[in-house]
Amino acid sequence: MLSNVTAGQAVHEKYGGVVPELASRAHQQNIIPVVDAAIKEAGISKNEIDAVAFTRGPGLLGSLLVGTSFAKSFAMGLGVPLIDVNHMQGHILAHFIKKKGETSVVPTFPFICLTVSGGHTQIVLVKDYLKMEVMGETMDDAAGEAFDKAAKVLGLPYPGGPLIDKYAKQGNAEAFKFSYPKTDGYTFSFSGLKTQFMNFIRNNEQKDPYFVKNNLEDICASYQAHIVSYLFKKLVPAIEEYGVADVAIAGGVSANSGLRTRLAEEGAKRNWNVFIPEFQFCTDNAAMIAVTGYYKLLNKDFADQSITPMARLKI
Amino acid sequence: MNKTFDIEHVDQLGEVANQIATLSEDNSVIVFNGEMGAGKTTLINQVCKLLKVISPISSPTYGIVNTYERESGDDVFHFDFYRLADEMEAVQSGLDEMLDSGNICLIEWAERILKLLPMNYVRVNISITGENSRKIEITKV
Repeated sequence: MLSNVTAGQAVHEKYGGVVPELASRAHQQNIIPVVDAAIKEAGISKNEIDAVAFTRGPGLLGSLLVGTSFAKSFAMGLGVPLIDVNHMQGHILAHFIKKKGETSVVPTFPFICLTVSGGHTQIVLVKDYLKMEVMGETMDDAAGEAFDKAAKVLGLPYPGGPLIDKYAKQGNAEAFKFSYPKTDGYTFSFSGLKTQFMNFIRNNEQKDPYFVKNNLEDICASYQAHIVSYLFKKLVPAIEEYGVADVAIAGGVSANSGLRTRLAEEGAKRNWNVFIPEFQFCTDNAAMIAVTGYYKLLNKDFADQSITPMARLKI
Repeated sequence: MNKTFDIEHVDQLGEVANQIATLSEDNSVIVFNGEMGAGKTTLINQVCKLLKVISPISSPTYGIVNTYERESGDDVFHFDFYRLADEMEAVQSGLDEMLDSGNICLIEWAERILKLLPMNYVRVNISITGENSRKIEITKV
């Protein structure tokens, strides 16, 4: 990796509150300056580019359209191959990003990856760079949403997941108990957990109006530990079933300290090699799309100019 | 038109969903109001089944909009504007075009984008009356 540039901050400054990854009209204004900055920061010239990779989906159609159109034009202008990338594969292959002058230990195939973000919760069997199989996913809300919505009930600002993590560090995870949603196999459901949490807060506030204020740390610690436990209730059997030695996490929620700590503990206990991406590669980023594009380039797996984005693209 | 349902259990949602699905034939935009946990997504799930949606239904909070495919090949849009501050943000994201597309739009947290709603739409208000019971009011605006 030579450069990894994000427009987020600039968009925020320009547009105030716009949720950066969603503003397709802002994307349109930012895409050329961002690509230009990435090329300059990498210290290369345009004619050294071997291929252009872009996100085909899943995502918001307006934003995907901007990237797809730009990538097509750029690849055509340079006379280089065009490569379509699945955003969810990108999250997993973020583990293979190599920074210039650094060596890193990477997972060995096959491995299992738990991808957790605001929009997704998946257990994926990764057989090779581009051979992946979704073993289970959420049937309703994503794990990140279970954090964000609980944060809202607690009166914390959106996205509240990182704040729950912050308060959880000072709390007792055994203070309150929640029950697990009943889902088959490796399927998750977080919608019921959200309702359970709301009823828990409502019932306790009826008895004590200052319940949240007086117990914020313990509530956050207990709820966070419960979500993490639920993830492991599905992850552990999946790993045992496939007998893999390497286990990875990916996606925005893999920045959660409760999840990171638990993975390290379980790994030590069960003899797994665990892989946690660097924070900048957990959240959505361009380097993960580029690294996926690199492996597709090695396979000569190219897209043609008739390709269109797909908001609901599957692995 | 104004119709009110008193629901004692989630099993009784079918009748409400049926009413909404019927109204969607002439009104492509349907707004669902109710506090978090009221059951907006649960009701939308049932409406989608009646609309013969073949894609899995999930929460659009993070992605703002989910696109589902119907057996007929048409799309249904499921919005959640909770993360947006106002109409301007929806317009900057190109979401206004989806609202005007004529496809069925099922909308949560529409209060963030009131100015973008068409002249005529259907409003579904869900209020929590007990742990499992709900009052659901359907109004043609």
